[in-house]
Amino acid sequence: MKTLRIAVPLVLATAMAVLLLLGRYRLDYDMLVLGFPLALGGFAIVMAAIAIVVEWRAPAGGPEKKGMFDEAEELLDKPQAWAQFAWLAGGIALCLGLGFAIGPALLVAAYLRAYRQSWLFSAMAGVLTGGTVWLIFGLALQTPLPMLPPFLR
Amino acid sequence: MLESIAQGLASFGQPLALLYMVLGVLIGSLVGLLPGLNGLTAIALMLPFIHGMDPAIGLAFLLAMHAVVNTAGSLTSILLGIPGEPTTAAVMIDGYPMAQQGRAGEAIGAAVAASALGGLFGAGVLLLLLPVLAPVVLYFKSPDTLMLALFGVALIAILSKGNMAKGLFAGALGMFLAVFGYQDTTGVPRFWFDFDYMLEGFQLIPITLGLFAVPEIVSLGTTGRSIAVPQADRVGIGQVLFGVRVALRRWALVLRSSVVGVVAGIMPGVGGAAAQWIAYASAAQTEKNKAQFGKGAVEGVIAPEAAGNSKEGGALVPTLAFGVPGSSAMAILIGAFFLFGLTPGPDFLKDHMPIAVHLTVTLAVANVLAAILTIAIGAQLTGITRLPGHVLAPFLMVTLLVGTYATANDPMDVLLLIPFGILGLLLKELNYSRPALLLGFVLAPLVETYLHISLQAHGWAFLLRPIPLAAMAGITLVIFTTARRRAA
Repeated sequence: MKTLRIAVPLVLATAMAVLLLLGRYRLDYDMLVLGFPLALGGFAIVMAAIAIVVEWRAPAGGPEKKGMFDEAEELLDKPQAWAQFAWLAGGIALCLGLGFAIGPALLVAAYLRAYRQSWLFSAMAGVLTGGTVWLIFGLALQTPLPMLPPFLR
Repeated sequence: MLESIAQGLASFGQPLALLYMVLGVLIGSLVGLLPGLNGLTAIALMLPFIHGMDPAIGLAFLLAMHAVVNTAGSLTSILLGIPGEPTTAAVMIDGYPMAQQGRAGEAIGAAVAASALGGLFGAGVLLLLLPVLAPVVLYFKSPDTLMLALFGVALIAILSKGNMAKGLFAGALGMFLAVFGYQDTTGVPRFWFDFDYMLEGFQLIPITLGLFAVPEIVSLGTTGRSIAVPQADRVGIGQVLFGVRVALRRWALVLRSSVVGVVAGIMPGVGGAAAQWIAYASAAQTEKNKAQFGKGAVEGVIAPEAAGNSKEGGALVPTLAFGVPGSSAMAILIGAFFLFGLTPGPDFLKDHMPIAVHLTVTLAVANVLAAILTIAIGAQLTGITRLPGHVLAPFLMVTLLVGTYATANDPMDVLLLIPFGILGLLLKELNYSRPALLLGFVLAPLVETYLHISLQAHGWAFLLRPIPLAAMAGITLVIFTTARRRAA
């Protein structure tokens, strides 16, 4: 965890520094264009450096003063947390690949079944979800949300 | 003037006008509940339907719909941790923890009451300003808008309680994320690397939902627990009404936040999201129970709600007085004016004052109607917070995906949910302030644009105007008191 505490600000600050260098020497932005990002990036890099020093000096695994808004739940160490990202990525693939009526239906049905809900409940919840999305966004509001798979449009 | 007010009230009292206003409130509330659809979309979707209507009724229908979107949008922010509107993200910071503690009803009641009061305040200010709109709007110049934005940036220091360097880093990171894409003053696209999506830069919706909603969904899916603590009482209408009473008792906070909202609304380009965050951070600085902010402080719900709704009254000021839209939704509303052959501006106020009065009264009444409607359905919806996480998570994922895509119909927005979701989880777990990041992202374009304009128009002498001087004093005070509190 301590490695991650140091790595995250380091990676983000490095990315900002690389972008600024690219902007100056590769993309040839003048100071009117690059000035504001340069000031922000410079400030962010200094703050990241201070944060890294603080993390470096902190005892490994020691209690950290809690932030004001974010109560850590120690999810990063749990493989199940990353499984949720895989579900989300799968949902994105389903919605973009099969449209926003079939995709959500399959996502809900598969997810519920994977977490040991009954076949009947999973299937009904899936159909209901796909139907609701189609009814509200497609039929009632007529938003341009693609409801059908690309090969059927 | 009195004759115009009487004519405006008579126009508002027509049965057909009332019917369309109620319809507008219902559609606006539905749109508010659906993440991804916002007031802007609602007005755009309904624009074709006003063709052939009486101008006052058609415009009031659109305005009523737009005015109540925030009120209903706060329900999803509070109950699910997913902002129903980009402008209701600030409400989520304390509203969602309240729902987790089984106080969803109280949060909803407080949010609804603050929304209604803020909306009434905004409409009241608009009504009072109608005869003298022009000099008021003309008084605000670019340096004043810049200083309001800089004041908001200073508030990042407050939002970054805990490790200050980490909070300020998060704020600066948020501001840096906003520099991608076209720069407003030069028109040069920055850091787009021949990738068309990046010409417009990162968008608010995928960032907001990625940073806040995705980590909550991951948490629900991983732990399998419900949003509300298992021992929480069932929420009844009594708890919602208790929240209403709490908001009424905090009338001074409602008033202060409403003033923030109105001022932000009058200044074109500031936007509802910025108004809500500034009001929130200001409350976090001034309220007695500062330590509770972010952990379920009802004041953290009241302040952004009041600012969010009072802003609409403020946004109508430049819209009606000059035809300069106070927000993007107002820009579409101006389009509706043109559809009716009306041109907002000084002549409009001279020739069509009854319509302006009709719109103002609609703004006030629609807010009250939306509050009643939300109170009626709010208690029923809180049952969602008792569902097991493994059951709720897939529905939230669908809401997230549909909402994100529906905002701009761009698949890239949906794909960006993953990296911003991972970033959100990392920031949450490593105790970096996500609200500070979002506040930075919202304010950075304002700061840069108005800094350029102010310098070109006035040079550094713009700092000597009265509002910049007052704002600099305010910024110094914020930084000084925050630093002193930390030292203590």
